[in-house]
Amino acid sequence: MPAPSPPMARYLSRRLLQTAALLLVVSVVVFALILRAPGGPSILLDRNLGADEIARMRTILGLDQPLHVQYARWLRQVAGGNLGVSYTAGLPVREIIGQMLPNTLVLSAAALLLSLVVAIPAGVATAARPYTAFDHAVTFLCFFGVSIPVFWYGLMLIVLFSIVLGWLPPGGMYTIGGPRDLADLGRHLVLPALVLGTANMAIFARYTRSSTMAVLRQDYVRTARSKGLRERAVLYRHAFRNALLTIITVVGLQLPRLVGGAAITETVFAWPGMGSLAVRAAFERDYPMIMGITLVISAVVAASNLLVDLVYVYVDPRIRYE
Amino acid sequence: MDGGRTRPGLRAAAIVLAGALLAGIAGPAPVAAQGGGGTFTLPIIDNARMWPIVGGLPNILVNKVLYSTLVKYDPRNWQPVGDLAERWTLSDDRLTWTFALRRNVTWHDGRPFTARDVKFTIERLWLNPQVAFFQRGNIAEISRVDIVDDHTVRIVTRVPFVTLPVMLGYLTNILPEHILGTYTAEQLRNPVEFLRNPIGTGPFRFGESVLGSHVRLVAYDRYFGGRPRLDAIVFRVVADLEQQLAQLQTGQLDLMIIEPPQVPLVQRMPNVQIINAAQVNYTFVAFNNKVEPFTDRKVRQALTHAVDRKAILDKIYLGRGRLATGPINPLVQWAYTDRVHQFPYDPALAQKLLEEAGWQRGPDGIRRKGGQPLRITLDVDRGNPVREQTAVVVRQYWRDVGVDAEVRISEFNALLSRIRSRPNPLQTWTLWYITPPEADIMGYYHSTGTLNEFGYENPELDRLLEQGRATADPQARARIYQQAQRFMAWDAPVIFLVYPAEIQALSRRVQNWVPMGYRDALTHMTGVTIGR
Amino acid sequence: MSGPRAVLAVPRQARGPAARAWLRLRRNRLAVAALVVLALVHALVALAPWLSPHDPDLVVLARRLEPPSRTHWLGTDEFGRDVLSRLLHGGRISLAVGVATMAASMVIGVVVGGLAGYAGGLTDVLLMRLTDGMLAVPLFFVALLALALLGATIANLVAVMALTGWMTVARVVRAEVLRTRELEFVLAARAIGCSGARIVARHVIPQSIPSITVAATLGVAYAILLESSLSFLGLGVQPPAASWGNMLTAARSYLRTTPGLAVFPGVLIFVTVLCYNWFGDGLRDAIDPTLAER
Repeated sequence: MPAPSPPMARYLSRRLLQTAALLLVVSVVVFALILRAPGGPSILLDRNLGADEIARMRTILGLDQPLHVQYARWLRQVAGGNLGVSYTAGLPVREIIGQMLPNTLVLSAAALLLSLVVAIPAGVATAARPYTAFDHAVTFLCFFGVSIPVFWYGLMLIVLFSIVLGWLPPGGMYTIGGPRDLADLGRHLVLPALVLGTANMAIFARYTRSSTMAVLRQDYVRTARSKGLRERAVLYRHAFRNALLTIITVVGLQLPRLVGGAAITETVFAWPGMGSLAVRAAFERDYPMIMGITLVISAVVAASNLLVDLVYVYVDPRIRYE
Repeated sequence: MDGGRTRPGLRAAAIVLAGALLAGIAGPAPVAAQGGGGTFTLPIIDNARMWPIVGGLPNILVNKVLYSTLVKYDPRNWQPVGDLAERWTLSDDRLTWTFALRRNVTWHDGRPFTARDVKFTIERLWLNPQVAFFQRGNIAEISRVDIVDDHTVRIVTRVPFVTLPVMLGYLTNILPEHILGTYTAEQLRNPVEFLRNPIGTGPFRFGESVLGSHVRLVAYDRYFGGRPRLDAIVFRVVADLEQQLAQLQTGQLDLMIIEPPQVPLVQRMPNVQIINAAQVNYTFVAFNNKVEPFTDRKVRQALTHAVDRKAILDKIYLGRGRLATGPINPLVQWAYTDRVHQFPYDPALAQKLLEEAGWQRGPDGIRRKGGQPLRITLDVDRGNPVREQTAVVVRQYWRDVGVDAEVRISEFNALLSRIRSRPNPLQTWTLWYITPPEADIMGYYHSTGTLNEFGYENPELDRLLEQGRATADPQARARIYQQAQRFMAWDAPVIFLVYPAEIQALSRRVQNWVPMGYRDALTHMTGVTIGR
Repeated sequence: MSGPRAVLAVPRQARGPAARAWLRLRRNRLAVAALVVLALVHALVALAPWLSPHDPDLVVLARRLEPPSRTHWLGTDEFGRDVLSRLLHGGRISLAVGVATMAASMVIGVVVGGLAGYAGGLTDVLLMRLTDGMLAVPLFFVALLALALLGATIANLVAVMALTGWMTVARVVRAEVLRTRELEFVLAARAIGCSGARIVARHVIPQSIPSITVAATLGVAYAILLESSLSFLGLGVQPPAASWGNMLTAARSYLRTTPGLAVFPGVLIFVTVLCYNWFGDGLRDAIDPTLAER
């Protein structure tokens, strides 16, 4: 990447400010949700704890203080780079997230990559030969992909590939006690990445198809064709390159959903990531954990969106951030 | 997505990921790395926090093999036998217990275990009001611990408390004074540094903990009961039951606890056997004895007669358990009696009792008294098929006798906090208790009991339970608790449903597994082996 | 595409954009088939109280997990309840939740989008910031948190799904408003002194109905699917009330022993969502013919 030019720097700082504002709003909303919630942290609800122990713990955790005081305290902590200590795990939230976030990123990135690798060729190919049997088959698969309940789909794949065929492990990220190498990771990654990626695969393929078709109707493509350029070259050099812009936009739009969807995929496949962590934290009412995860996931999504915007610059020379 | 700030970076990441995916499809299956004794793997539903001061099932399970208790329970009769303690005696005034400790015990860091550790754990951790010990209610009668010598302690109680040895085997792990002795109360609540490398006296020492993935404990060579035959125990974090089943079937797990709906499936797995393990427990439908109409014993009896508990046992529990007659589990052999008032399924009698209590059927079939319809909400926690099914079925039985019953399913947390708000706003709910192997049920049914969520108050029972706690003579105690059981059966403060077996799905490779509920089986792991 | 010039160019299609879209839609056989299936499914579940052979909540422990028979056409579940009756009643709840969610997010989306587009200026900037901000947040995660914390009642479920699902509509409506506010008849209406709200309500919104309909159709599909996902986490419609999502979730335990229990709700969710997506897609092609042309 070239050294940021002044307009670029200004653009970046504006985006960062916006992101900070967004994170603040999200944290306030989630904090409000937490404090409106009936029940309390599960560590306070152990059936063997007496009323006096519970009262003491509430004081220790600061839960007996007014809401704005609690929020201000949390905010001060965060400003100091401290996300607090998880109630249930007893470890610093930052440390836990530090261990889990990379796993979720690996899974999300693999799902994204898988969906792009399948969807773009499929989309371009169907755009080149629309309304053929091939096109209809791909279209059907796309609708299949966005219409099936994710957990159900995951369970089917586990039954088929792990139990019936015995090709792949049903869950986890590495074989425990085995080598933590790429091959082992890959074996564990295939099914969850496929499940997480399928809906996006369908969406990307549809958008690739429609935007490629739109480009193919443009005058300059007709010109290129009439000049006798081979169809393949037309497709990839002109049509697809321009369609790429749409795809990048769609990828950007789908990123939050990808990260959110990880909650179910990770639970189904026992993947040690942020999604399953978030589900458990929500049920355990592990407040510091919930707040920390919210903040980090939102920040990651914001950062990825920024990344997507920067990728535009490379793909489309017309765009400059000013 | 994380690292790629430049294009080459992105591309490299993409290549690595694609490589991983491809390698995954093409690569050979890695051979499980195991030593001679094998690794025993079981699931936990969340990360374990290896700090036995706080509750939660994942913690409890891991702590069972990492730490030791003063006593544990004999698999044959659930009587307390020595673990860290060798033997114990009670003084004539029934207030002072003398525990002789084992001499050859070392902590996992090699330091010797002594009486100082016991005194420290009880006084500075369990009894310390600044440290909220989750089992404090069970040992709250202890007033102090005196060190007699390195291997003898005296435990003094405020009042005669004959169940102390049993309570000292129930989720009461001893912790190392030589490490934690200098900690402040603040640090003792959550000793982050200690938990990175926890030190216990159990048969397995801490190996590694990968958050969200697993905890691995390895055999401790100098364990006082002899080195365990297994090389390691792995607790895998698997929250989803279907995923657990898949891992059991494909051999990644050696044990899981299943619910009756899974039994037919597991029966078809050739590599797995099913064990009905005994556990000191019971399930119940609770009445809020403080609110109308449950203040009326006739109504409570009627609602008990209206429920076909035998059908619930046969169809929902698939017969894996025994009909409950009261709050004391038959495993507590010396105290248990089934010669109490029985509640066979008898809807006609239920209707008669309701009518005697003044609840007459209205034109819509719903019973009314003074114009008020008999409307009951039955609360249950979400996620456990047996309890959810029980609630739905009980609702149907009650409807059959003219009660307008509804089921409300909520998160366990939310349900428990409703039960515990004072006054308890609920009418009826169905839950379970797992208890120490003891007949002392003061905590649950005495009018001052901390776990008395039923709003149950009866001076006669209070007196019996107080007597039982102070009586040292076994036969006299047994008589007192038998009388308590007879009294409670007739008074029907809750519907006692079933003493359920814990259904264990155990890999056939596992040998010498002790058939107790797995919380206690884990305290008998040294002989267990894994075959090929 | 619309307006007076189209009339001049193609007299045959002089029936207005909606009618022309309908004509195009009718030529899309798959979309029509999807519409027919949807009509059928909706009719069946709407008539559930009259079509159900049994009380969907009647528990008969003696008859659990029975295979299909003449009394129980699709067999019984783990409580001995009639699966067919529960599917019909559960469908009512699933579809009602889907449609209610869609309707609520339409209302929010139309208000936000309409306001932003018509008022313009700072209002527009702020509302679109809000919309973009919402789109940049992992909403499934927030929805999950909200339901886990506040409790998964049907009202909460619809509210949470609607509050996290209105942004597409808002964008579509705003774009339509920006497009139509400069059209001649809107300018004319403004010239004769119609109030802003009246113009939006009487002239601008009707113009965007086709695009809103597309968003609505896809919205129902999304809501039904989302409910089933939330059910998996125990945050969907709460049993003992039936929904397709929670029936499918409950059936997981019986997947490999009584597969029928899982197949029926699974297929119904899949087919319904598929048809909504399919129909919505056909509708979009019909409304924006540039996409469908060769």
